[in-house]
Order: sequence, then structure tokens, then C-alpha cells
Amino acid sequence: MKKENFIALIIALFFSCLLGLTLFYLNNNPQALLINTVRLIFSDSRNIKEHFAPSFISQFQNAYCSSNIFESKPDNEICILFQKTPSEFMALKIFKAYNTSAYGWPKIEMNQNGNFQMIYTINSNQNFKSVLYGHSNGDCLVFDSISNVCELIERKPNFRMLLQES
Amino acid sequence: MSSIVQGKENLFFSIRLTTIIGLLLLIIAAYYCPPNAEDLALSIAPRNQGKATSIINLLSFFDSRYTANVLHAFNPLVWGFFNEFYILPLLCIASVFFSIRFFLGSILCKENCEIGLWWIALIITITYFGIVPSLPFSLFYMSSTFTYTYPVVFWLLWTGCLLRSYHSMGLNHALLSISGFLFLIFSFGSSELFIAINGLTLLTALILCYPINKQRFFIALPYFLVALACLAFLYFMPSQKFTSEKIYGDLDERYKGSNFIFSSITLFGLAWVKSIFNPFVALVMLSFIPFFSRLRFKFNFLSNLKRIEIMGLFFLIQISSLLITWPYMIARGSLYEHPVYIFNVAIFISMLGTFLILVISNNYYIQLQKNIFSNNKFLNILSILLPISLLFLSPNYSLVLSDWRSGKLADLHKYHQELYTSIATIKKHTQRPWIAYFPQCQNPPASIWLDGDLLPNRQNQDWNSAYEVYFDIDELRLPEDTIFKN
Repeated sequence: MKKENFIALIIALFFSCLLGLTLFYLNNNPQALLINTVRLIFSDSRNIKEHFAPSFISQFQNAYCSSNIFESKPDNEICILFQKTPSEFMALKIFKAYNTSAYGWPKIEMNQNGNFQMIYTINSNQNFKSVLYGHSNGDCLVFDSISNVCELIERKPNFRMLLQES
Repeated sequence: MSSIVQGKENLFFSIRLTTIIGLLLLIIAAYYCPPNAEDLALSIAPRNQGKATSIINLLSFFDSRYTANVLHAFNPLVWGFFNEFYILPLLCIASVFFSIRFFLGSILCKENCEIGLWWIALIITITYFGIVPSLPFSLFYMSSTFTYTYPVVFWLLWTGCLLRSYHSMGLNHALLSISGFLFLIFSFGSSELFIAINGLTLLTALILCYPINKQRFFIALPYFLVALACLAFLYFMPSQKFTSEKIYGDLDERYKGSNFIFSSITLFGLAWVKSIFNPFVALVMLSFIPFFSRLRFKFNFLSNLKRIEIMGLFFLIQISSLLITWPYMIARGSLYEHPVYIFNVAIFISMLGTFLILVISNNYYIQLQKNIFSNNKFLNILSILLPISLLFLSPNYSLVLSDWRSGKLADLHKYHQELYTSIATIKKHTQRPWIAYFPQCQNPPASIWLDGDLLPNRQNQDWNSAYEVYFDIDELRLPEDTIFKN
């Protein structure tokens, strides 16, 4: 093998390592951990204990049992905490939330209380309406600080029905 | 003899004229092309959450097209340049053109090329956009996603780098290798459509080189390692598992009563007949034949292939083009969808391959060339027919021309401009809630636009929200909405 080819091989290995490190990060950031957990729960719940530490699982379960399901933060962010017990419906719900690109993909992270939260960055309270439209078919999210939610419910029969279900 | 020279000059002029007309039509279409709702939606996260966060989120949750996910964080819409959206189709045309030129320069000697590799690259680019199964998807609609044409660009670039590496040494070799690895990584991450073609190209390079030239085998080997790393990256990324397994269900369920192989062959056959089997393509190929006699390959074995080997190569290229569509169909396609756009890149490989086969088989029709192309009248007729065929026989340029002349292109542009003006006025002169009305273009130009963006009564409410969040307004309504009391 010529010297040039050997150097090219080293460069190729370097790029492969970079890809590996990126993959490691992507699979271990909080968002991916949560998604992997959800996926594992619904594929085979026995796998969970093999993949994640007990403290992580308990934190995840606590997140679903949290009574505080909504927080409004002053810095233009909406936090939505998961409330329901995990179910197939919930997995679909989370997936749909991620695929709702119009709001940007929400960040998921663990808050100070150990609960998971989805965060939407918004521009003002008025834009709550946009968020609500996007999730009007979800029955696990409740918003408590929207001044004009009544007006919205009046105008959107479909949304009202789903809110009543929740 | 001088009349033949004159005939060839006329033909060369006709080729240049045809190319320029095609390019002008594409530039006109690009100028009138507005961003659609999905373009806006994809620009919101990089703008509001930051580029790195949005890219990581896409890779974690949405799909594993890492190159596309990175690139669309840097499109002009992210910086608010929605009026300059034409930059994206123009960038795409330029990328295809330069990558074809780079690739041709890697396999053809430019010294004896009468017509010039730049012109050949340009006419191939123009021909491709003239016959591509879906012009809106290849250039205009959702062009900020960088998904439907860019895999071709990166494939041409890394292949060109590999081929040039065979003749390079020292620092030049190292730079070509680094560029080639990067373009290979980008190619895998642009779209799942190019997993098969990248793999096949590399395997062909390795298998062909091993018995003939060991040094070239060792040049191709690092590319193979990088490709394996890319495949592992795609497979183990969290988003990949989540999308393909959970959402789209089993392959058997999606192709009831048939299978995806049969579907892909049928659809590819239809696309091939519609695109390649076209008088415009035939005339372009025919116009090049008088100039082929002096074209030489940098790889001698290509000039000395037997008839049966040329036939085999032709079928290998067509089968490779077909294989391009399989990853998409396995991952998410169905009989019930008609994913025309996945055949765009397949047709490109098929067309480029057919062109190269014509050059490779040059030795076998020298006599034919002498008989037919020594006729000055024939050359002049060809020169006249070529630009006419572009305007009236190529499926896409005739459509662009028709949309432009009927005013459809200008109408679509006007509707969007009026919306932008309306939003700016509302936000400047009124208090919240800011509600904008967006009348829809009833007869949009099929050359650059597809239906189904916004529907009355927020039936596609994600797309209403895309406009609302991107432009920071409270509600986007259509005049025909009936769900609102006021």
C-alpha cells in the first residue's frame, strides 16, 4: 500500500470515528433517551430494565404521574408535562407532537423536579392559539393560563369536544 | 467538406441556443416560485430554537437525512428572506451543473473535446430538468428541504473525487480523499434514495479494481469504510427506528396483493418511457454524436469494451437506477401513494448512464456517423429541430412556457406577494389579534407548484400554523372559511 493510500485510510477512520461520536451523542441526549424509553415500553417492556438505570425509569414514570401538568414560564416558553400512564395512545401522541413541524420540534428535557417537559418557544401569549390548534386532537394537554381560551372553544366545536373529553 | 464544417458549427450554435433557452425558462420559473407552507414550517425551528438544537431534534425524532436536516437550517427563510426564495432553485441548478462538470472532468479528457465539457455539462443539466418526472419536486416545491435533487450532486462529487484520486499523488491525493469522504457522507445523509447507488458504486469500484489494479483497490477501500460508518450511523440513529417501524407498519401490509419490487419496476418503467423515451432527449443525443468521435476516456478499458460488455453496462446502470427507489419504498412508500419524485434521481442516473454509454459505444457507429453526419442538410435540420423540441416536446419546458404565457406563474407570485404585504400592513397598523386572509390561487402553475397546501376551515391546520408562526400572526384565514364567527 502506498503512503498516500495509508494516509487516506487514516482520514477515513477519523471520519468514521466522528460519525460514531455523533451517533453516541444523538442516542444519549435527553430527547433520544425519552423516545427510546417510550419505544421500548411499547415494543417489549422487559427490555427497559436492561437498558436504563432504575433511577431513570422511576423519573420517567413519575413524569407521567405528575399532577402538575402545565407550567407557564415568563420567558416565552410553554412547558407541558406528561400526565397519563404510558399507553400506546401516549406514544402516538408524543410522536405526533414531534412531527408537528409548524411550531418547531419541541425540546424535551428533564426539569428540576425530575419531570420531563416538552418546551415550545413562542412569541407571545396570543400564539397559544396556534399551539392549541396544532394539538386539538390531543386529550392529555390542558392549558390554564390562556385568557382567550373560552373564545377559542366557542369558535372551534371540534376543539371543545376534545377538551370536554379530557 | 467546408459545408460539413459549417453544418457542425450550426449544430453547435443550436446546442448553445437550446441550452440558453432552457436555462432562461428555469430562471423565470425560479423567480416566480414562492415558498410553500412546509418550507416555512421547516425554517421555524432553526430560527426560533437555534440551528444546533433544531438539527439535533430532527435527527433524534424526525428522520435520519442528516445532510438535509443540516442544510435546511441554513436556507434563506431562516433569516427571513422569503422574498428571495428564488435563490434555492437557482442554487440547485448551479449545484447540479457544477457537479456534472466535475464528474465529466473525472472520466473524460478535455483536450480533444470540440464542444467543451462545460457545454456538455450544461446541456445534460438542461435536458435533465426538461424531462425529470416531477419538476416541482426536483427544483421548486419544498426546495428548502434539500432532499430530492441534492443526493445526485453529492454522488457525482464523491465519485468524481474517487476517480480523480486514481491519477493523483501527494497533497492533491489527500485533499481529494478528504473531499471525497465528506461528499460521500453528505450523499448518504441527503436521502435514503442513494443508499443503494452509493453502495453499488463502491462495490463496483472495489470489485473491478481488485484483479486489475491493486493500488486503485486500496484507494477505494477507505471510501468503503466511510460508507459502512454512514450505514451504521443511519441505522442506529434514534429517528430511523422510530419512523420506519412504528408509523408505517409491516411491508406486507402496505403492498397487499403485490410487492414493492413489482411496484417499483412498473413505476420506473412508466417514468422511463415518459422521460428518457422522449423526442427531445433523442434529438439532444443525436446532436452530440458528431462531436463524440474525438471524446476520449481517461480510463482506457472503457474505450475498448466489447458489444456484450457495453450492453451489460447499460442494463447494470438501468437496474441500479431502479434500485435507487427501493429504500424509499421499503421504508415508507405504498401502492396507494404515487411517489413520482423518488423517480427523479433514478431518471437522472439512467439518463447520464445512457449518455455515457453512447460515448463508450462510439467506435461501433463510426460508419453510421460518416454516412449520416456528412450530410449538411441533415445537420441543419437537426439544428433547427433541437430548440423547437425543447420548447414544445420536452414535458417540463413546454409546461413552464405554457404557465408563463398564460400568466399562471405571475398569478401565483402575485397572490403570495399580496399576502406578505397584507401581513406587514396588519402588523404595522392594527392591534392584536393579527388575522390575515390568504385567497388561494385557483389555478396554480403545475410547473412549479402542487395543490394541497392550505384547505378551507383549517383542514390542513398544520400548514395554517406554519404561516402563523413563521410570520408571527395570530391567525391565517382563507376567504372561504366558515368556522369563524367573526
